[in-house]
Amino acid sequence: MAKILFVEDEPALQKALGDFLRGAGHEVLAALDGEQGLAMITRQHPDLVLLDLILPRLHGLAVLEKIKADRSLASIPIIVLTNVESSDMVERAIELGAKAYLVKADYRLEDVLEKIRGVLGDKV
Amino acid sequence: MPAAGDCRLWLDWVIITTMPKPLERLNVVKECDNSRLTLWSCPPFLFVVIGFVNISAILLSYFFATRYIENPQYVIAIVSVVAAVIFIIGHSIVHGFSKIAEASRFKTEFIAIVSHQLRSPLSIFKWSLNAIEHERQTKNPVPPSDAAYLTILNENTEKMIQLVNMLLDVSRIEAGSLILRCDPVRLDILTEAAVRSFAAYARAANIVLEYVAPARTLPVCGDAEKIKMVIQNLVDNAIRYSLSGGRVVIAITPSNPTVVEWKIQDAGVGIPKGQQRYIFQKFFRAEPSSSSQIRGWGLGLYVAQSIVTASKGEIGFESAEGRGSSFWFRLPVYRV
Repeated sequence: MAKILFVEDEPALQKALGDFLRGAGHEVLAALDGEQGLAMITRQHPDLVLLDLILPRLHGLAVLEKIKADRSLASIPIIVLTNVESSDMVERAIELGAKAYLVKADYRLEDVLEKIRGVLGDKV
Repeated sequence: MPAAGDCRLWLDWVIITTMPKPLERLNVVKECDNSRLTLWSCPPFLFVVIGFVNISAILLSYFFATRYIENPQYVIAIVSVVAAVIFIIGHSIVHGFSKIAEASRFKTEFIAIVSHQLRSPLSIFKWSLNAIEHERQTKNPVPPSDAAYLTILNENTEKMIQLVNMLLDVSRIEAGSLILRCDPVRLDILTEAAVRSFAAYARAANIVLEYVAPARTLPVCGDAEKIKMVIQNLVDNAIRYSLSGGRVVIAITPSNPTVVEWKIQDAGVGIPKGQQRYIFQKFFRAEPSSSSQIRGWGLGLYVAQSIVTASKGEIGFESAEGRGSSFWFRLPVYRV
């Protein structure tokens, strides 16, 4: 079981993926904007972060940049989960250290879980 | 073919079906009409006007130069007026081009923004349906009628996602920002997945979908997600344009040690000869005389061609109306 933080401003997506991951035995924390997400990462030290990019208050890439710049948080794996799919965004996210870049509309809940398992490896 | 008596449609139809493509461009009024530009802000029309002005200017200069040889000031005045007219028309042409460029940029940005905005509610549909389906499988089975509705909702959500993805790709192709990876892609695996996902659709249309797996397939260089889209578009088209009871056959063969060919053959309605040269154009849908009610967006082949070409491959087809079509693409073998 892993502690997963899902930073996503859309409550319906929070509920669908949150419930699904809880059903698979994970502890899921929710943040509804970039600032809240960053604060929760610092406070809670999750095992993995699912990060949307278009977020209120603080853009997802800025959250990613701040996490990777902080030594105590840099090792937390981050999966970008967004609907924006421009090549510069993908490149920037991977350059900043994201483990994967997933387009929500193209992934089923099971596929997202599969990716999480792949990233967490032995931790699950 | 347009109804008898509709002269304008007849004229357009004759031009489309008989004129070679470069000659069609001479119909500047139609071209301006298609671009939604008024004649005086439409570059193709203004080029014709400027051509006439130039020829007239040369003739007039000659006429005045020979008649008023003792009064060169008249000649200078005429030439200056002509130069001013050419300058004004030239300015209108540049302005027309700027308007076209702006409209094209706006359209590309509009499609990209709308597509992103559409993806958000579509993800909500997809994940919510997914959650219901999961719940149904693991805890509470739903009555068969509800299950059928769920399947319909699922299928249509996927279709909408596919359309939005395709529109996004079109806007990327037009903006020149379609960047493809070169990963090792197994065409046989992608084809098996496509055959599985189209099985129900083919059965419902009473079409036999056949895929004979090759003994060995070398991976090709491509972007798996995009090549998957190419295969899906071609399979979808083959089924869509087949007649009930027909057969669609997919084959993968190595063209030579460095190229793999993927081919799909149907015995469907085929593409009329006069329409074949437009088949890869955006929003073009072939309309065989025997089948007027075929639905589609006219984007699949345009996107497929752009993806295959950007992957350093080739795409083509052979078709005969009433006998069927065979579409193929070739991609280079992946080299480490």
